[in-house]
Amino acid sequence: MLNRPWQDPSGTDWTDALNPLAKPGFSQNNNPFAFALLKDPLMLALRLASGIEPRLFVCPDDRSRTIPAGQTIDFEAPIDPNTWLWALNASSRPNNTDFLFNITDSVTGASMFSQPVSMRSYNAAVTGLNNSGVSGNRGPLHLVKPHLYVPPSFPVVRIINTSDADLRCWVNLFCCVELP
Amino acid sequence: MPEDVQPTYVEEPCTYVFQTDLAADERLQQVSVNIDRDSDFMLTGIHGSSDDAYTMNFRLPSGRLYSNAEIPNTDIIGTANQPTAIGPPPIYRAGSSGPQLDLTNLISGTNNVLIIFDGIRRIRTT
Repeated sequence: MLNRPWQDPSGTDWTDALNPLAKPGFSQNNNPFAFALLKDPLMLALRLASGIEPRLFVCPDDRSRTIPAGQTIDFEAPIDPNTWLWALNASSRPNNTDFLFNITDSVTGASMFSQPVSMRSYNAAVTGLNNSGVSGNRGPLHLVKPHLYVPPSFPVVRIINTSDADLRCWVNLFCCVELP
Repeated sequence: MPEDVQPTYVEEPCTYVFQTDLAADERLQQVSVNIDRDSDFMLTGIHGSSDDAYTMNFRLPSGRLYSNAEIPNTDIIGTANQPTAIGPPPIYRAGSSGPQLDLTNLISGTNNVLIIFDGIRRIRTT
């Protein structure tokens, strides 16, 4: 870290929320994956474009929905046309019990993960679990490259409750949308 | 002002702090976080703390809700070291009611909630 050249802060765009040079947490040393995403040409274009609005999709959107033990649900995220997905995280209640999820493109059928992944891998808590509800998390986990859902496609979130207890599960899609 | 002259701004770091005590199972809707009348506010990140679990949502300058449903605090509230980035950053106009908050307490007890909106204050100079 000490070998990195000093950067003149007057040359940094501090108004850019996703500028890895302005956010210590996104620096190449602290989080090389977020750093790589944020300087990806597509992400750079999204960061700097006008007429782009941030959006968040909680899947499923009924927070009281309980998924019975051993059951699977598919939730079609109600996105706007031309929505870009750039980060995600997931959690459950009670006690952040683990479950599996995957995200599939409704038109192409392409899955984001080759097989369903553990919620714990995408939970925001720094330690992997945060049962207390007290803040102390890493926010969303960034994709390597933002993904555009071209109309008429939309993400289908599959949630698999692999525990022996009923759970309320959420997969949160951090997106931005091109305004018409 | 002639049409070809662009307005100029001064930008400063800025933080709007929101704090409330949620009663047991209380739900608050469209609570304003008023923006100063002398400057726009560009929201770039969120962090905060709380006694226990709650869910939240807020409105964008366009009037739309940021999220399609309230999101658990542990999924959206970052830390002071690494606020959760809100990007591309929405710009709340001077004097507006800001990111109007929806909050739901998930516990059967009082929950002290602190939410800090990080960003940039943009003061028009010409």
